[in-house]
Amino acid sequence: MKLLRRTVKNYIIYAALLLVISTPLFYVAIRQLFIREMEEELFHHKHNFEQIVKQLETEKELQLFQLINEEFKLTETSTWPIADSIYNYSRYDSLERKSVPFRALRTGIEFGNKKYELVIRESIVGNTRLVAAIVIIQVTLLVLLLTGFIIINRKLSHEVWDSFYKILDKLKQYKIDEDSFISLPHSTTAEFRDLSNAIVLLVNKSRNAYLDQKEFTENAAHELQTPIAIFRSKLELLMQATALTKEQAELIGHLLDTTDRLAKLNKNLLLLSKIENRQFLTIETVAVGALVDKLLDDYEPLANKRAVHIRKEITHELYLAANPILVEILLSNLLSNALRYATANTEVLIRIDHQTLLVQNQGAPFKSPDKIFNRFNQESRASQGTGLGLAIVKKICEVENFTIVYAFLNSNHQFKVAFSRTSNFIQN
Amino acid sequence: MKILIVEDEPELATSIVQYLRQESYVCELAFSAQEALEKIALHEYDCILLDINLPDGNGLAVLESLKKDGKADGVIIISARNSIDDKIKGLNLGADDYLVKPFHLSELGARISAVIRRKRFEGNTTLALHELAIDLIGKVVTVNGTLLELTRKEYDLLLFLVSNKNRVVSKNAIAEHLSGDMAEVFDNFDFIYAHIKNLKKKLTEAGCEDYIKTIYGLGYKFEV
Repeated sequence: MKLLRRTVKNYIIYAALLLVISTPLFYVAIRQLFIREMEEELFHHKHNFEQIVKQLETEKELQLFQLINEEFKLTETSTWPIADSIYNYSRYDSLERKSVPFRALRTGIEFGNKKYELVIRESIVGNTRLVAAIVIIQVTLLVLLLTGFIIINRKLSHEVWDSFYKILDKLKQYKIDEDSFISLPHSTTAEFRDLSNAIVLLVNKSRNAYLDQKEFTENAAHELQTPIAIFRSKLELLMQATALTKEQAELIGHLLDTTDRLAKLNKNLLLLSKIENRQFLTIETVAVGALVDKLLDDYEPLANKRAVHIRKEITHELYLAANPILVEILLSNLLSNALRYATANTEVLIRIDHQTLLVQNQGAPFKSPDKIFNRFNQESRASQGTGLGLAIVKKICEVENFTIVYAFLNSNHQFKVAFSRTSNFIQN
Repeated sequence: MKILIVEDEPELATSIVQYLRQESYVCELAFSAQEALEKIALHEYDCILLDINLPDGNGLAVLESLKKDGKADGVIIISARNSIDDKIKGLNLGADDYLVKPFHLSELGARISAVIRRKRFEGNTTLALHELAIDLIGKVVTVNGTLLELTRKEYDLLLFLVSNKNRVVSKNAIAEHLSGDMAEVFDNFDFIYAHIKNLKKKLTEAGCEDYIKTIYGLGYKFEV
């Protein structure tokens, strides 16, 4: 829910509640005031009446006066004295054709030697009318208030929140491995200025940590190159010794294999940093099918040994505008994985159409398929690989804007690469 | 044949010297750029191994000064940084080759012998060993004048072994040499065994003596 909608929603709820609660309160309060005022009025009338009556001389005049002034009603009475009392009553109004409420003051009055009961009445404004009036006024007020609020808020959100949304946009676009720094728009609102300062600080810190870590991997791998070179060279010298026994030769052989593995691991780590550092920039036209053929030629002995049959389905030769080294590493890693890990005596399928490459091999499912592209994940640690092959594949896809999707279907591992920039070059 | 090894890591430098000595090269060592420049000024070398990460400056500076004197021919750069920029810069400055640490000594041996062959035997592009002759330009092999039908890999393998003749070459080095720079190298060496078997068969069938010896558990040796 958007911030604006959320605030407005709360305001509307509050306003509705206020309306419900305040209407009866208003009604009671206004009515109370009104009645009190009316009572005063009634007593005032009584006083007036008494004053006027003093001036009258005959009973006839009194009767006349009473007829002219409808609010007074005199009735001869024998009950005496009569205490002042105020009460409500309704009377049918033939003009309005409904019962109309009145407030009345009952009192006693003496004229000559006769005693009268005097009732002075005042019509009360209808309850329903009063309530309706109050509700209408209140609703109008609230509607005006809310519309004003929404309009002002919307305007504010355009003006004030504008810089917030700009900051948000920049933040969404920021990539720690690509952008060196983040530049945020200047805001006149103090809170957003604070926010953007905090973000810049955070981004710089993270970026530095990221660079440190990257640099460390790179430096560590570089620094290891020389010791590995020395180790390997000494082994090769040892190998030249003429009087080696079988056991010694075997030991040296194992050491050589281990050194190879170490060298390969280190090479892949360096390769990964280099890809991350965007050091492979040259773009050429690469023919994927031809490259696959070339690699399969190299891998044929492995396929033969593992009795894995290779089925190629190439409907189109696919030409890419990409870095040739990276594409070769990508294909090499995918193909060698498929051949290396395919169940023996099964088929590895390589399918190329005008935009995608599919490499499929049979095998047991991965324990955690969502982590296969991570460095040194468990699956690869169990095998003889360096644990970096698929991480490199993923990185290459990232820098070249290819999309790689992994799926496990009918006990087949499928890696599908969708290439973004196919080239229109036709090979000569 | 004189070779200058410019390498600040003494252990690696002595390994290289020891390995190359078996091929009757005369090796000299320089541990810094300064030392290298002094030696280059005094002597002529057939081949210079130049580490470009030296304590007293970039080895590329040494290369630049070599180029100025017209001596850059025959330089093989060795570097711990497999940087494309350095490689291009080095080759543009006239270096012959670029080798990344950690390399196999046999790979280095093959590269050095290629450089020296090219420098020493200008015009003569055939490598002859008794009845065996390898035409380096045409990439064809003859035994007593008869042409051998070798695959590309078999030819590369033979040349690699011959370039390291009388020394044991490990399966690992052969695998790396044959699979090229970027390809994923397998920890499985059966394919080398297959190539060796075919090569030996073709050579002996053509009447060549069986020079390729299997060294148990380690690799192969071309013995003459």
